[in-house]
Amino acid sequence: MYKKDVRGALILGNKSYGDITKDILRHQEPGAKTPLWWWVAFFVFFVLMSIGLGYYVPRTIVKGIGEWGNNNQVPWGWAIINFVWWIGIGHAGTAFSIFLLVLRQKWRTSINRAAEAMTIFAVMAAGLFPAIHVGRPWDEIFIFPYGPNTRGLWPNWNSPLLWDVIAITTYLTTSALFWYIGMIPDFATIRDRSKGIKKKVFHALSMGFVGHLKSWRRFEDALIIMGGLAAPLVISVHSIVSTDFSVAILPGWHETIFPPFFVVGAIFSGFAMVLTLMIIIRKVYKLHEYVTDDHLDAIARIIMFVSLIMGSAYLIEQFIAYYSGSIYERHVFHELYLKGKYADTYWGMVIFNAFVPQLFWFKKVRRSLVWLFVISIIINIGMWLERYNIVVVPPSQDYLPANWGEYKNTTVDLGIYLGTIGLFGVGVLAFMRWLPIMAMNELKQQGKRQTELTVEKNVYEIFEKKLLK
Amino acid sequence: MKKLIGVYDDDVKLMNGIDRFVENKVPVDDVITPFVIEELFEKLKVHSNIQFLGFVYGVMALIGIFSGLYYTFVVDYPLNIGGKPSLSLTFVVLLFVGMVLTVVLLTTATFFHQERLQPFKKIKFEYPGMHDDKMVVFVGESYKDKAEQIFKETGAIDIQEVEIEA
Repeated sequence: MYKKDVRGALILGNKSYGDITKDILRHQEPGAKTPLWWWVAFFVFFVLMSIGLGYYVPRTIVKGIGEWGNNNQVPWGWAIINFVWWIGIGHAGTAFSIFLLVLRQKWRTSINRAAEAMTIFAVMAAGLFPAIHVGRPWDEIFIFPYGPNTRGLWPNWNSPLLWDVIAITTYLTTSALFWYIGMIPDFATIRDRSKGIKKKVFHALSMGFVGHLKSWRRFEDALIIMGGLAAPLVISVHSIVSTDFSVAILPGWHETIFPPFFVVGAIFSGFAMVLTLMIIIRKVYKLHEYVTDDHLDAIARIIMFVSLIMGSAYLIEQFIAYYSGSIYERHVFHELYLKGKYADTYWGMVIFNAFVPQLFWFKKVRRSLVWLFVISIIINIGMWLERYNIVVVPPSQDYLPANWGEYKNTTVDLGIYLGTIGLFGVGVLAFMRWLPIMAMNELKQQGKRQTELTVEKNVYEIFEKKLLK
Repeated sequence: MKKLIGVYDDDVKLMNGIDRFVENKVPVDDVITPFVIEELFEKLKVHSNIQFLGFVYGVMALIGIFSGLYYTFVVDYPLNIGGKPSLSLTFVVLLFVGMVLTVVLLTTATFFHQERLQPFKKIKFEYPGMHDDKMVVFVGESYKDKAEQIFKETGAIDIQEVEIEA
């Protein structure tokens, strides 16, 4: 088994196994009061969700896509911007759980559960947009392969839009199952500690799981299989999202850099959202012994590194536009983006994504909760702007100047977007209130090895062994 | 079925105990732990076939999905693009994603089936804190004396004889 030697203690305060359970479930124990901030936040997000999904979505369905800012020239507006943005955020859960699992980064254990929860709600928010952006959601059945007898032909397996439907469905299913199965032992812990209705609910949720030897072995094997498959799935899902754009022969969309660029961007925005969420969880639940400064520092370093990749991608796009010699490419990249009427969103994106995260080179910034929080929000705005630039700008001025148009979003666009933010917020708050916010069984697995004293002892032992050699 | 249980509150003591059981050739029937202890799998030789089954599901899924795509696009409704059937490398994407979906669903089903997991399943054995901080070792009654001695020597906090439903 992997023994952590280099990184500092992952759980501070010499916690016993019992302490870990108590700390993580403190706010759920009988008698624990739901804090006021939770009600306030829940109310705000619930109102947003109700307005967005309860009013603006039905309005779109009843009145049609004409309610949105989309037009002939810019056929995909906020709906697809938000879709790609949410999917990107949704990739963090798997990025944390799987990539860091594959890379043997044990510091993921305090964070992966919240990141996975975030994935589920973000993908749910994302899934709404493809469903409503066709305008007539009841016709969506045509995208599923339900047999040729009704329409005389099969779905076009060569279309990235079809891949997208299948990929997103697969991603949602996989991450939801991975999340749920990972939680089963923790549900069993809560079941053992609770009484009455709560016990019944968690008895049902834990499916009668008991931590027998064989059960743990099967549990681990099942999760490893699912995790191993989910890691390449993350890459394929966002590559597929990017091919929705890059197969179109539109200057600004027709780029081979898109798949890796989208995947990296997804991980970037996802990590930023994880950072936002973990800072909130750490602060409000006083879990600074589990989400330590080192954890946040590690996330900040990854964000800084990914930000460099983003910056390089922006530069390469500009260079290739110049190097291609194509006047259409140059028009989009040099005229529209750099100095045209979309320059503010373009430069906003560059500054927010490529420059601001470079502040993480400074240890002081990486160690300050305020800075971390502010920068994580800035990155999320920056990534939204990036999707705006990709979705709106290229089609607005393509090959034929006679067709050039302009895009302006409407209140309905904004309402639906805020609705999905509400949905995400309500989901995350419900998760914080009722479910185990950290993977207790995984934290305990790190347990003794990573509390303060043992780490010092380990380091000492290794040092001694090396000296003896 | 009668069993002797020894309860530990520390995984280091538990592992010492298990080592002693293995040395003395006393078979350990089961251990209930609040978290995965991988060393236990090695020492007590616990295996599962889920990974192998996952591989089989993957192969089956690839064959099934490829056949489906081939049938729809080459046999049933061939699209001739430039004189060739439209069986292109784009199949790879769907093969992969479809394979993942199939394997994930079947692996989950296998896990649930093998563990007989279902809502409100009756729990046959309970010990306070067995999913919190206690580790319970089960030994057959015929090894009672030896096991009791090992439990005591390795620092078990509780030793009991229990009746377990088969």
